[in-house]
Amino acid sequence: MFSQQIVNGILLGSMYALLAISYTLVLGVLNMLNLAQGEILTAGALVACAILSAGGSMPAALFASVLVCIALSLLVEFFCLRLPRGDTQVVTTIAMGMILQNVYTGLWGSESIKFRGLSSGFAIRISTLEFNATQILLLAITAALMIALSLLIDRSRFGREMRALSDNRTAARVSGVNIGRVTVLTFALSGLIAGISGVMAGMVFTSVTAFTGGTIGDKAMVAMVIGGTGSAFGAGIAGIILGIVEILSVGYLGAEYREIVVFPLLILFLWLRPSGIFGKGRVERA
Amino acid sequence: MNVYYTGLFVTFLINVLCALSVYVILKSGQISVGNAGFMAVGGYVAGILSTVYGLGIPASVAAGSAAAALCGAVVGIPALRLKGTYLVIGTISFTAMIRSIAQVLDITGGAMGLKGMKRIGILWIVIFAVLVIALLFLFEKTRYGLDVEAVAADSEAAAAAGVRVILIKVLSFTLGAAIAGIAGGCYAHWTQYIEPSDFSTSVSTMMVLPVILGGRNRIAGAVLGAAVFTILPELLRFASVWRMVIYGVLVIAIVIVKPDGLISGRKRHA
Repeated sequence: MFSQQIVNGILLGSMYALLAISYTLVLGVLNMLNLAQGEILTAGALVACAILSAGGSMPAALFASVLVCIALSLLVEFFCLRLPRGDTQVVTTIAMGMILQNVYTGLWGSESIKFRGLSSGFAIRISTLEFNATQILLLAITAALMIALSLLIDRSRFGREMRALSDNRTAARVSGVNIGRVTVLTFALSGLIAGISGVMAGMVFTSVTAFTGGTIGDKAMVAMVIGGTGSAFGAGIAGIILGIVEILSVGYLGAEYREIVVFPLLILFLWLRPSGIFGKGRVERA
Repeated sequence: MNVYYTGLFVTFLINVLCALSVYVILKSGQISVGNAGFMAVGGYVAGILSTVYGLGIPASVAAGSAAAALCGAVVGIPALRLKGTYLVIGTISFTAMIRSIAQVLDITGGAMGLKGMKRIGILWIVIFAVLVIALLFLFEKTRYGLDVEAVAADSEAAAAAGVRVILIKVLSFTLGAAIAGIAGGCYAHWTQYIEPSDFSTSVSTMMVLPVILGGRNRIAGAVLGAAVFTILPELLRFASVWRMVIYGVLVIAIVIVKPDGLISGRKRHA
């Protein structure tokens, strides 16, 4: 019972982890908090859902979800970051989130829509634990993405440019980093991750609503802070911890206690260790 | 006045209070996306005090406001020392936390909500709104108002000039939370029923947008924004959910075209 809950927690948490990584990419590199990120994920989930319901295959659904999320991510970059002058991203991304959410309610209504996941009887048993095909797939995708993203950020030329930009914008520019290109690519990457997380959300919850992304988004932000802003690895670990905490709260306290531990945990971190578990203690003070 | 216009007028006043609660915090160069949380604290504390303990309406609303102010300090103090992003995330989480606490406690009625509050007279809501506006006008004329503008313009320069930056930021934040608490108390006693989902994150974000639309540098801007925010959905009633889409597009367009909002003029100090 307990170990099965841990497994469920890890599954839920891997979704928070992925979205937290996409938050931390944009925030760490561009110093921008994209409050529409959760709503972008919702678009991916809804589109994937529609394709699956129409009899489309899972890869097709995943592809469409990623495509839509990248497009929306670039839309946010253009209308919320590039066009407005000054420090208004919080407001413009809030407005964009509101626009997206109401577009979904307009098109799909606010009822929850069934998500047709994988229907294979395949399962692995390890003593009393049972993993079905969906769960194995989700864990594999999360692990692969976390490793790939860490490598991308730490080893690749693009990653070096992203880190240069995050350290010092001016210095990066004079060293020949194409800031516009890195910005657009970072947003595209965060859209890609949101698209994958959207399909994962559908699989984990087995249904999607216009509000799915908002709820996941809030927790992903918490995971990002607890993990240490700017650290993809930290965001991943913290996301999984949050998932486990949430499932255990439901299991041992009751369903209405789902969120009662998660958010106070963040307030506690803000008081005691604002740089997060894996942060380098390099939190900008006001 | 018939019932429809009375309701619209009260909604307008509560929206004004909400907008001002965001305005006060914005004025000091910070942003809170958790004012629905402070509103919830004000609403629940006022509602419980008046239903369970039989406190009169103005006193219970004032007590709710004080409780919200206290929460403002608890959330604000750690986050204020950090850059704005943490404040945004901290305030969003605070709102979620308050919602989940209201969801499990018996005294708040859990998911069933809190009911049985006596109806607040419109006069009281008018008095609260006028009082808050008058106080803010007074504040802006004092030393505090100048300090706040200095902190917002350049907090390091302000600190160098002897302004106690942290104190000013905490004060502004606490004041904003207190105003949101009044809005919550009035709301709870006007609708006579509140439930946790009344105070969602999207309610918080809806409180920020009018201020940006109307103009974040002037009290009049916040009031105008609240008026637009109250009337526009009524005018666009035919558009059902799409009206919020129109509203969102309007806000982004304003930010791009007129970054200071509809009423822009920064006040000048000779």
